[in-house]
Amino acid sequence: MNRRRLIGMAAGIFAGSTAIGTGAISSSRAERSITAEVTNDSEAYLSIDSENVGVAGRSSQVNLGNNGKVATFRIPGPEDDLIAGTDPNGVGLESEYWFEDMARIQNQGNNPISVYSDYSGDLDQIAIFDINNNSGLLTSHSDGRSLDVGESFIIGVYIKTGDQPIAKYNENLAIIGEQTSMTTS
Amino acid sequence: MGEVERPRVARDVPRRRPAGRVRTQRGNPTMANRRKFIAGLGALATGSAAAMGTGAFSSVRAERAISVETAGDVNAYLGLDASESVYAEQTGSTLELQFDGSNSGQDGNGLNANADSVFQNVFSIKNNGQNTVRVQVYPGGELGDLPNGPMAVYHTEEESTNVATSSLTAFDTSPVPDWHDSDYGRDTPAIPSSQDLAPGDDIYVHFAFYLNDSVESLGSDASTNISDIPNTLGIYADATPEEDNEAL
Repeated sequence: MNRRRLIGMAAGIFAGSTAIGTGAISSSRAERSITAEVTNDSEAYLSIDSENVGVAGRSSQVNLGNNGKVATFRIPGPEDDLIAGTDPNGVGLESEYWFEDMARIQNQGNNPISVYSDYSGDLDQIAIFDINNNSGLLTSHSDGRSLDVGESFIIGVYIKTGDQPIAKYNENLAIIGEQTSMTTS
Repeated sequence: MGEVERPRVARDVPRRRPAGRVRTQRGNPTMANRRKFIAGLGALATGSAAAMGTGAFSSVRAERAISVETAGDVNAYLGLDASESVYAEQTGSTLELQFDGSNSGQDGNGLNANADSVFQNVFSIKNNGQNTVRVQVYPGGELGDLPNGPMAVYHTEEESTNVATSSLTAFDTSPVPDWHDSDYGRDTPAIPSSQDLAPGDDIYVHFAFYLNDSVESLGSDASTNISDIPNTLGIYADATPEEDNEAL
């Protein structure tokens, strides 16, 4: 941290003196190198580990080829019928379901964040919750789960159905980590 | 009159620990590697380097796929089987309780006035999930006790073959007659183990309507008015507390 700040300050002085020295630059263009890497969800800054947590294959990682492995969730999971006598086809209608142990979220960034989810789709609601805290669904920055640097927690997925047709719904759930010191609109 | 039946809540607590993961691929199009960014620029990075100097990410939004299948009540995680009796019917995809003659399989048109009526094996509840759950019933809309009369809701582990109501066990939220053999039912501390359903297990649900206001089966404080039967019955299944404790 200190080292990076130092670099930034020194560079600022350098840039300023350059501008004074030439006197009249009508335009300048500086190409700067950027190296960015994408990595698997489980290793990213906002780590979503859906491979070492989960049951019945409800949580997994799908390989996107060059784009790495990203978390994906399936209800019911492919192994949901492996216990004798159980073979659920899915969640009932006009019901609320809480599926626990779906993934571990870890803050691998350098500042505290708030973790929450955002959903809009064909079902009434999909959201994440902290399985060890009954405080409710994590659906906004202010209602999110605070994560210090390095801290993690295990999410569950909440699903609320209405009177939708019986079908398979391929939905997207946004998992969001936002710096807590920033105000968001 | 007790109509429109819904599985309100099922809570599923996965138990098994997963197998080890395989780490081979890289890549996830969400974040830049800022540390490398700084190192590559060195002292020439002016304003940008200062801005990036904290190394913090301010926000990440990752859209992830989730596929959800919906199912009819009988095949859902919390399975509700209406085929046990003519007093329950799966209408469309959801179970409905019918004590008003609306089911074509019934000859009668409703409950006897000023009488106590018991209906056994009305429907069954099956745990199609992967962990033991405790089943509870409540008036639709919110968790809590059933009204104090005239309806009581009972259960048995097996299909009941005994006409005596005292052979049934009242749900923890249900009122229960004083003369009932069972210690269970509302205001009693114990929760019967038969309300706990292991994966693949089911229980049978029974209904009694105590409308006889001279007998007052549920006690003098209880209602015998049919209008106090809730319009919906909620069914709640939650992981048993023991499992919650070992979940971590």
